[in-house]
Amino acid sequence: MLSLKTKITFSFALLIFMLIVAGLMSLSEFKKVSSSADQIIKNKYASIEQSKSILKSLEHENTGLLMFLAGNMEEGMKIISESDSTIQKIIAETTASAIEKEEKDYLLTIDEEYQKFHSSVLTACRKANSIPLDEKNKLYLTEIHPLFSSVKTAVDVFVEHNQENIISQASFFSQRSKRAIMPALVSIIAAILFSIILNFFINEYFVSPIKKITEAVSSFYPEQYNLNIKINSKDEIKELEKEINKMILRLQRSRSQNE
Amino acid sequence: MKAKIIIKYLGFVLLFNAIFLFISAGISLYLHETSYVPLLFSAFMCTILGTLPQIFVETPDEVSFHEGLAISVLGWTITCFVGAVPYFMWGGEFTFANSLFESVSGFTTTGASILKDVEALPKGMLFWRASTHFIGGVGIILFVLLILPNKSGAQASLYRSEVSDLSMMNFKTRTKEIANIIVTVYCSLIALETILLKVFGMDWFDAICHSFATIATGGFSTKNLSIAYYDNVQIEIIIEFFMLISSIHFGLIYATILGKKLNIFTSKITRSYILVMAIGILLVTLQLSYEHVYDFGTSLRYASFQVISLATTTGFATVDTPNWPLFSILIQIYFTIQCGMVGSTVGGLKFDRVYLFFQSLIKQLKLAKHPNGVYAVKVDEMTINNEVELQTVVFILLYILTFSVVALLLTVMNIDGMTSFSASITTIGNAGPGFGNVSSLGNYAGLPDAAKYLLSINMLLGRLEIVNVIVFLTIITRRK
Repeated sequence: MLSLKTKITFSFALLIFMLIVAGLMSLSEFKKVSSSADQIIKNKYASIEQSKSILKSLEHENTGLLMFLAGNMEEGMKIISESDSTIQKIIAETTASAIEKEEKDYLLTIDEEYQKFHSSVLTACRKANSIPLDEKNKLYLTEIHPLFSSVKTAVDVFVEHNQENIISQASFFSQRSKRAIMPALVSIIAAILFSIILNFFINEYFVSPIKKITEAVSSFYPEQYNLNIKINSKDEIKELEKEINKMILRLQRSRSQNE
Repeated sequence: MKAKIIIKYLGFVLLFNAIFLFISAGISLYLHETSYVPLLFSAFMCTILGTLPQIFVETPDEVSFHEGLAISVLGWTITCFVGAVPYFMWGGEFTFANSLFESVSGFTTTGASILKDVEALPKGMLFWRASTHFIGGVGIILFVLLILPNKSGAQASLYRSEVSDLSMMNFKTRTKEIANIIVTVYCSLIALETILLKVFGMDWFDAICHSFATIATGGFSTKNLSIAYYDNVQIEIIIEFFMLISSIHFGLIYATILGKKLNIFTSKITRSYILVMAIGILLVTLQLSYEHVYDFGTSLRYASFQVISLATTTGFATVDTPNWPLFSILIQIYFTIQCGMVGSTVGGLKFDRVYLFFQSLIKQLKLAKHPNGVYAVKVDEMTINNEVELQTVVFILLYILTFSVVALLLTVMNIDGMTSFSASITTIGNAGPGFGNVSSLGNYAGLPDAAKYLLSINMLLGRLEIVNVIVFLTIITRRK
């Protein structure tokens, strides 16, 4: 049977182990939640910002085309080619950093729509010198502007998807953080239970036997040969009871020898 | 009653739960699921809380009947709360009421669920859900009995508190051997069914989980459509066979394997049990085919599975039954009340008590005709004394009273009559699915939280056989 010291040390070691496990698990969960939340939110925010840049460059390209058609060909072509390279670069970067497949599909659609728009812009530029102004207007309104609108719609859908995704991720993270709190919450309840049980055992195995011995010693009368108490444990308290009983016997013997 | 002895055995109960929590966490970790956190954490908590009493309290030489009763009642209650912790920590559909309901349903092998989408749960969590059936099947106290030293005086008291007097009838050996026989038969049946289910098309994980649920007569499936998901006649026949076997006295199964004289085939009560079930299947089949719900073959397929599933209190489903004709529904309700045989893994009223009740009724009628006659009630050549007869009648009355009161309380919560009545019967009988809003392929998610708590108590009362709980409460209040 274990000694008193071992029992108490072991019990507190268990309690400490429980709290460490709870703390580590909560911390690790929080770390995971915060790092993935950080990554996802940054990624989504960057996607939305890049979508805005695509729209801005698209407007620029459109303005460049209108300038070209209006006769300012050199400036117009410069704006068109600058906008095109910016858009191509943004799409490539966003696709590379996209986390989910759905996001990549949306970007592919934007790219396809943009390629159609851009090739129609280049075709219009080539035709610009050989057609009259009202023909240029007609060409822009019937062929190029609908393609411009399609690219804008595709980018808007992508932005909407990212915004919805942030909202759905928020509820996912709320659930994940609730899970991260759980080990701490459960360990508080478990620690309370542990303390109640430990308190019961300390009372049962330490306080109560010591009280018994104290009462037996205080009510001890000279004719007694032992303490007349029953200690059930097999630890130091039992040893104490045995030693007191031996001492009483020794005292009784020496007293009878003296008499 | 010594509290320290009770706490020591409750510690064993926690440690036993911890083993299965560690296994479930291991599965989660192996499959890289995030559910390992609640499972592993719960396992650690159980180990720590279960180890503390082992440090202080020595194994006692004797456990009194009252202490045994307290260990049994409190052991089941604590197990149910501990089982709810991983669910509650996981969150999602698991609110506290839902977690407790799912846990009680698992441990009492009821199989009633609050989950709308079972397949969304990670496999580690599904394994824990199936493990609650495994632990609850033969009873956690019985597992504790196995780890006690042979000379321990605790065995008889613990066994008496866990198993009814009626269940001990077919056992003529020492307590520890009885526990060994039960656990051996239990584990062998699980192993055999797992292999057969794997051979006929299930994967290993589903085969193990469904075997736990079948042999424990629980009913938790890993699929939203339960056994209907597989749409496989061979799998249905295997499960029907094992559901039936698991609802028969384990002592008789063991005796049959050993070639003893009194076995499944010679036992009158077992033959009556199977005959009543066969009549039930035949009647439902005839009505379903007569009313053109299905053709004869399909009617027989569905009727046999549903009747065996409810009569054995398993609760698996191959079809949603609320649209069946009323007579077929009533037959199924009867089987939900009757339940399986004593000494098996089924809960509830049990066929033996119904059989004894009718034998006793015949005896009383004979006595009314010939007041000086001497008549005895016999079960498999064993004479049943008047005390057991009286206990049986009292139990049946208590059972009816309990489920009536629970059904009444459910109607107070604005739950319709059919749902209240069948939910009350199926939970006290540990059968699982009922009728109305809690039908075979439905679930208990829509019920108010108060109803879930009430039904959780009802399931525990059914598993602990009502009388044990009443006696325990009487002891507690008298002490106060």
